[in-house]
Amino acid sequence: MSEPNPYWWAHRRRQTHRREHEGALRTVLTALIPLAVAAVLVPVVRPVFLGFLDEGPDALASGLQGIVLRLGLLIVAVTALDVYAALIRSDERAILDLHPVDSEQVSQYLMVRTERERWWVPVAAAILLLPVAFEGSLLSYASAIVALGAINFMAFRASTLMHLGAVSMAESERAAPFLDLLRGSNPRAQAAFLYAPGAVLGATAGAVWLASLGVYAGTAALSAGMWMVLIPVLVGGLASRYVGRMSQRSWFRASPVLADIDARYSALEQEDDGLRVYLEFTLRWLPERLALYVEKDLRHGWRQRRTGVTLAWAVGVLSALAGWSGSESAPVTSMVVGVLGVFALALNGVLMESDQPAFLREWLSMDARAAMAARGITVFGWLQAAVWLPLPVVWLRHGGASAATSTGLVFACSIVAAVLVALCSRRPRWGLWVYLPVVAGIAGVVVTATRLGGVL
Amino acid sequence: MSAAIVFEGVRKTYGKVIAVDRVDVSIAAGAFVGLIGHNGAGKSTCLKMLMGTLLPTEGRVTVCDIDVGENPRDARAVMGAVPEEPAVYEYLTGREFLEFVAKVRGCAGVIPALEQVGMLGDSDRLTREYSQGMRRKIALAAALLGDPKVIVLDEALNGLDPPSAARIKSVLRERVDDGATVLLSTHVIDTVERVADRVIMLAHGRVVADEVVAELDEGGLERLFLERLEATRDAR
Repeated sequence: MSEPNPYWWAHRRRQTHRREHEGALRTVLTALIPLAVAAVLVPVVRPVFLGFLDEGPDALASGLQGIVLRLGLLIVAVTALDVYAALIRSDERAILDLHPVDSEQVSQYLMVRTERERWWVPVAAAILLLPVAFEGSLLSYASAIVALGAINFMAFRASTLMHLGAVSMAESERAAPFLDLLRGSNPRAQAAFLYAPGAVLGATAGAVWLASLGVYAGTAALSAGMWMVLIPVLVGGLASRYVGRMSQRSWFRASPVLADIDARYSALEQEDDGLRVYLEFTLRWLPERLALYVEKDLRHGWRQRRTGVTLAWAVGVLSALAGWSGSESAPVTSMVVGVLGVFALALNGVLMESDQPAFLREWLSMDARAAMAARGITVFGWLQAAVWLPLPVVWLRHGGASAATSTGLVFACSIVAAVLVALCSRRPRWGLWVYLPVVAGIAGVVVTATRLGGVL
Repeated sequence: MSAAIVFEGVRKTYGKVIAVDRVDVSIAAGAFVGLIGHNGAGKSTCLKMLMGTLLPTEGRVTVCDIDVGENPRDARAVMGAVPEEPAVYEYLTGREFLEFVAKVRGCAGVIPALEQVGMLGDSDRLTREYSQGMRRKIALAAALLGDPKVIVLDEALNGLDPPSAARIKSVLRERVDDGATVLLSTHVIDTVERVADRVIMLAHGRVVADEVVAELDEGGLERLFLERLEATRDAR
């Protein structure tokens, strides 16, 4: 039988060869690790985010609605970033750009492929919410899972449509004055992509909210409103209808737009190279032997993983916002956001190893210990924004003792994360698979011990 | 004879940096043209605009009367290209990669293409096991699939052993004899002197020479290149 879609055909062949080459163990680990991490995090999530389960049946509906709303928005935000990487900055562009591809088929393939690769997102959400099934009600749990699945479905389709739209916007003369207002020091066209995830969130927030209301209705036994959990499926289906049309021009135009953006970034870097690399000023305080490797990592990280590095500030702001609440549990929530954020952000340090050219290790006489220490120092530096930003907020709202304890714990975790990253950087092939379960375990122990010990 | 490739007042700038400056070139169908220039002369930028992966700031590029910026898909359908750093799917065999390209291009016959580049014997190995030269040969075979009217090669003979390079040159010459147009960018003057009918020389983004190779003396191309390069440098 002939294969109607060559992109899927090539993808399946690649998957088969990869499995043969890498072995079954790695394939199974890749599939199971996110679920294992979610399972380990259940004891952390239960007291911090599912506290409404202790407040009786009356609190269940509104509590679960709030959780579905927040988790749904998180899924949309993460998916929007994922789709940007898979569709716009696709690794396959370099190959496909040489041929007369069917842009509609390619866009659909990249969208669905990414969705399949992220199959674990709704499953991990279902694991994290398991306490609702055991301590709340099975119907409430089921409605929450259906709503999150529907939101996940919508997120991929809406993100694909919005990112293809961002290509048109990046080129549009009419949008130029608006993009100039937003772009800061970035190239104009990049502003369209920088704000695309925000636009996805804005466009889908209403559907996420309605789905969460459906969960409320399901939990409060208002059967008339339960169908609303499926509203995101309708929105996703509608978005999907326009993906093909939008891709006809945008798929092809994305490559030249990206080439222009990269060239302009490169020109910016050359103008004041060194001054723009985040944290490069800290090199003056390091011994020369270490400074060489830290400089390499700082520049490599900033240029290759800029978004991941600057997300530390976003985690810091999130943690501060969590600490601003007047609730007694606010310092704990702020600390939990900080601990989870710090361990997640430190992943950048582990992933950097995969971009490292092999010749550095194999041919140059690299000082392995200095390189390892430098990776730890670099990651430690990047994490500090997430550690210290919430301190003044928690101090102001909950006093010095709470602030010092929560910041101290997050700071300690940033040291642990940096040490782990340094150790894992010596084992690039297995680093990720060691790092993820270890930090999930540590995060679980820290947060649970904090709760049980009443430290905060 | 109709033009296969036309650069019409093409200019490419990045802010203050001028990569290509008012290039006007017309290449007839059935020509074998060498594009030479120093590093950073604008050769790759011109070829990227021809492939549609870069858009001109001013002017337009057409292939077989198709505007590349406006109709990149149609332009790619008549063009086979090998970029400076050819990309292949790492977890496909060489043969599977060509089968994929053939499916996309709606053509058949990957075996002749593999034979032409001398890769039939290694075609069932994963491309991730290939050397740089072997990857380049597979990329060349992909560019030859479907008998494109225009073949664009950016430093495509780099990294090939002498027998392979000779084989590819002869395949390209056969394609030209059959009516295809080849544009080969390189900084190896000797290669152009041996295979091309016409040579276009770029320096600092501008066309500084456009000559028929047969009309140049032996070693004349190198001399011309150095003279024009020096003249451009003085003018700057």
